[in-house]
Order: sequence, then C-alpha cells, then structure tokens
Amino acid sequence: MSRPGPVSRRSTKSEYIETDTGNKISRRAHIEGKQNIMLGGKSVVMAGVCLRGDLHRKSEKPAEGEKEGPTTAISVGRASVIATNCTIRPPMRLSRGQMTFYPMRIGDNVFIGPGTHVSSLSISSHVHIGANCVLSPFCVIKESCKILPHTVVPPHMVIPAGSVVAGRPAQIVGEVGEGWGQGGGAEGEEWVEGGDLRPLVRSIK
Amino acid sequence: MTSKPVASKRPPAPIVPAVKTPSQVHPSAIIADKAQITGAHTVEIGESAVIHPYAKIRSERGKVVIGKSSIVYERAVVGVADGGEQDITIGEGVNIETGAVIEAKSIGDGSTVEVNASIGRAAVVGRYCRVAALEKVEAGEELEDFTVVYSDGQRRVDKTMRDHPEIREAKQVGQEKSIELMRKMVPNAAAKWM
Repeated sequence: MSRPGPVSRRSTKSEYIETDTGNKISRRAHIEGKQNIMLGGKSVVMAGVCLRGDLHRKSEKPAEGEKEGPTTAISVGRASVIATNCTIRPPMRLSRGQMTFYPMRIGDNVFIGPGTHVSSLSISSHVHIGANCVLSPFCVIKESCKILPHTVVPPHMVIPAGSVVAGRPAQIVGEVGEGWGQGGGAEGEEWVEGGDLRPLVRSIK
Repeated sequence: MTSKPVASKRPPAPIVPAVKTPSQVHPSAIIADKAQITGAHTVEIGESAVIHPYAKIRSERGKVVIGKSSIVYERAVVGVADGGEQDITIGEGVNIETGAVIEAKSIGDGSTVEVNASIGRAAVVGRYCRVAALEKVEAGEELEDFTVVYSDGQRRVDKTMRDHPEIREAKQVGQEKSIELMRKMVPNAAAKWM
C-alpha cells in the first residue's frame, strides 16, 4: 500500500513563491533570518540558495529613545537573479574590539551564477557573476563588471566599474567595453549579461 | 514576505536519522538546528565549537572529533560518506568555511579551509595551514605546519605566522571573538544531540 508522500503533494505547488512586489523565491531555498533580508522586487532566489540573514549587525545597546527595529543584513535590488546553490553570507571583521557582521548590498540587475559564494560588502548594479566564483569578505564590485566563472576575488579587493575579472586570485583581465548590457530584446535573446534582467525574471516560473 | 499559496502546511521536518548518532557535545558548543549530524560512530564536539546551519558531520565511516573553538560553516561536510573506515580529527580553532569538504585524517590547530576547498581522504593538514578557496589537497597528502595552498595548487610557507607567535595569538583572539558573536546570532540546538 503506498501512502502519498509529501513529495507528491508538493509537486502540485509551483517551484517559486511570488511576493507582492514580484520577487520569486524558490521553496527549496534555505533562508535564515528572513526578517533581515530585503529584496527590491522582481528578484529571483533559486533552489538551494543559502541566504544568511541571521548574521546581522547587532547594536550593543540601542540609543536612548530609539527602539531596536529589524536591521538589514542582506539587501538585494530589483530584477537581480541569484542562481541555484549560491551562498550569500554577510562578512564579519573586528571593529572596536568586537567582531561585527557588516550589512551587504547587492544592486539591481545583478546576475549571480550557480554555486557562487558571496561575502562581499557591496555589488553594484548590472554586474554579471559567473558560476562557482568565490567573492571573499569585504570585496567591493562596482557597476557593470563581469566576473568570469571560477574566479576567486580576494578579501577587500575593489573592482572598478566596467572590468572583466578572472583568475585565482582574481585579476582584471580587460574591460567590458562599449555597449555592455545593450542589445537584447531581439528574437530568442530577450536579455543580455549586464543588461536589464526583467525579461529573464519574467521567464522564470 | 507573504506567500500567496496556503502557507499553513509546513514542509516536512528535516529527516531525523532513525538511529541517533552517538555524540559527545560539550555544553558550551553551539550547534544550529539545521546542522546535520549523521552516522553510527561517535561524534565529539569540543568546547565553544560552532556548527552552522546546513553543515554536515558524517560519522558513517569513523569517529569525528571537532576540537575546541572550531567553526564549521554552512554546507561544509566533515566526514567520509563511503569507502573504508577512517577517523577524522579536527584540531582547535579550525575554520571550515562554506562548502568545504573534509575527508582528511586530521587537521591541525588554527588551520583554515576556505570556501569550497576540499581535503582528500587520509590527508594530514598541519597546524596554522591555510587552504585557499577552491583549492584541493589530494588524498593521502601531508601538509607541514604553516603551509598555504593557493592559486591552483601552489604551496608556500607562511613565515609571518611561523616566526611571530603574537600573530598566532591574535588569530586566536579573533577566533574567540567571532565565536562570541555567533553565540548571539546562531540559535543553539545542541540539546538535540546531547
């Protein structure tokens, strides 16, 4: 006698939960501390992604008359895509004699490839990150960069806008050049790397 | 985050192994609720050690010992899933970062295995070693104390760490402070394993 397991019941549900602002969050994503995570709208969090929002900055004692509201540990902009099995963990370091987690910020239209680990301080908009990269703590990635697959960005590295980065440890190997993120909208190619990712987000169901 | 579909039916609880892993957990250790400890051999978790959510400790093929003040981050796997019997000993103040796979025989005090690195079977990693992100230590390999594995398989000796005991002390202080922080951040479910 076969008992219908929870799997068969779940298959009737969709893969993604869509929020009021159009964010799509996979049911199979591992999200800790969701009260400290901000998604800008129309962003996608795919299956197996691990978001560590529980590792937030804790104020020692809240100032007088100020009530302790939820702090943001991870903020993601609009139309950003976090592909499968990524890990997003805020960086930590010693500050005034205490270990502190720093809030991290990811901009709009950012694509983070599958299996990538992100501990950077900030990633600006229109950045394309390949698969299986490691962005070490406190690295800063400026606008319109492309990070090739299997890159290890060392801690505290600042990548200037428009760079192409590769290697272990990462080096700037070129520039994205004119027209990065332009195009798209053509038949069979609704979106381009570094461009507007909304068509991609729309196609994910 | 409001979900449109009915959220009343919660997904099934994480699979709890039929046989509970015999474990010795120090009362001051922090084990997240979603950390997994599986296998039939003993798992020893030392004083102030931190096991993050989604980390896996597997004792299917031998005893696993995690030393004092060591941290195992999310998705790291410590243990051998199949093959011959082998015990694993992790020293004191070791950091095993996200996604690292440890099948080594032992890892010395103060070493760091960075993101998605892997240490092969029966390898021996010395004290204060550092295996950088995505690097690999082959099965059976022995790393001397203060070795750094970086940039696709290159090796060097960290002379700063070797020649300056105060830097080693500073590292230890940093480790203690990060554990202090995680004590506030990671809900402790160690009682489950006691």
